[in-house]
Amino acid sequence: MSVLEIISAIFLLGGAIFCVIGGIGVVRLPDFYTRCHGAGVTDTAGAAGILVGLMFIAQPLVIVKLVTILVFLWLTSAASSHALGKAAFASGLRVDDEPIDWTTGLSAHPPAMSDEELAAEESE
Amino acid sequence: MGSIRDPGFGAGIFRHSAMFAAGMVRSLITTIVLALVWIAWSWHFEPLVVGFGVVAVVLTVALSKRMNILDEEGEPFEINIRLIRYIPWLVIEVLKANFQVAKLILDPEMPISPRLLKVRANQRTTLGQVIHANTITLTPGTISLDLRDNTILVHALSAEAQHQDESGRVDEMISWLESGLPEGHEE
Amino acid sequence: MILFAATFAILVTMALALVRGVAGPTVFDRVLALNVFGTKTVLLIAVTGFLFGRPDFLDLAIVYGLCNFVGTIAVLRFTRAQRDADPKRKSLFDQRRAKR
Repeated sequence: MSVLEIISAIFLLGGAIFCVIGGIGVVRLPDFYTRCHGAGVTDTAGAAGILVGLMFIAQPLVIVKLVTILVFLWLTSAASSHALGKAAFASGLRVDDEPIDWTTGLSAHPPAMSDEELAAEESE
Repeated sequence: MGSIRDPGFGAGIFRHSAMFAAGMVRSLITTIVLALVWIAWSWHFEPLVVGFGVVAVVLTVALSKRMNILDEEGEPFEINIRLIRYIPWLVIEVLKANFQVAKLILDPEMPISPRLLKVRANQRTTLGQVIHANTITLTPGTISLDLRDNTILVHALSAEAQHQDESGRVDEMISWLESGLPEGHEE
Repeated sequence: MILFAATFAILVTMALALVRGVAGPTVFDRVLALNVFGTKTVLLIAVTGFLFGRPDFLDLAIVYGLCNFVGTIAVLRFTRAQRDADPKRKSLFDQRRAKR
């Protein structure tokens, strides 16, 4: 095994571990908004680790493609998690400090924007 | 777009020609980048394939020009040089945040404390504010939910993530990044 | 060898995403699972390309990544339209509009 292969293996292993951690987070975290953070881990560190690991064992031309995939993945993951979060927030999915009911995903607690904030906005 | 102030006829002409020159630079940079992408993807140098590439690149640039998307938001070449400092900073921030979130997820008790917070975006341009919001979203542990009135609504996973956003380091960095953009494009 | 391990880890992540997609509970959880699944597919195509010694697969990975992004946004638009059409489920905007 050459040095490059060892470096590549380290990166691949790190990326794989972050992928699985993010997957565990997506299953384990209590409500939708927190699960977005778990998905963020797989999309940023997992993808970066695996693609950078592949770069160390690739031909020069292939490296360009890998870099492009990485840039695309980072740009689109940020955009799509924002779109998801915004759509969920706009459709009234609650954001809570305490964990949410596992069966429904919604809870009976006050909405994200409290009544005081609503009143303040109305008076403006 | 916002206020294009016109102090006088001569200044207007000068301003117009300066904007025209910037537009040409944008078209040129886009053409070069697209040509390099074509070459990297095909890696064939037969006249036919290269001819297809030339047609595709020229058509793309001409159509983008016609659609008016080659402006300072579509191809902000003024900040390209500053990306050299911004991107390593972003990668380091994202890695640090990844370790924090991974620690939270793997903890058996999962000591998360989700919260909403409002982060002030002091950027001058819309592009800068969007970069700020996207930087926050890209960092695991924080997601920007909304952006209006120079304020970003952020959902944070823990107190650590909250302090990271409220410390203003991100804001400073993005303000520095966008300070290369020309004046007169504010919203 | 390490490529096999990476492939396996990606498949495990995809399985976890599927669990979340089936479990729900809201439609946004399912879209999130779809998004994670798609991103992992891109990585899987890239890694298997190297595993079988055919890096040409990377072109497919790029195209898949772009399609996945567009698909997520499209599904989101659809769910929003459907939710707003549901009279029993008032969105936050509707609540605020009603208060004014």
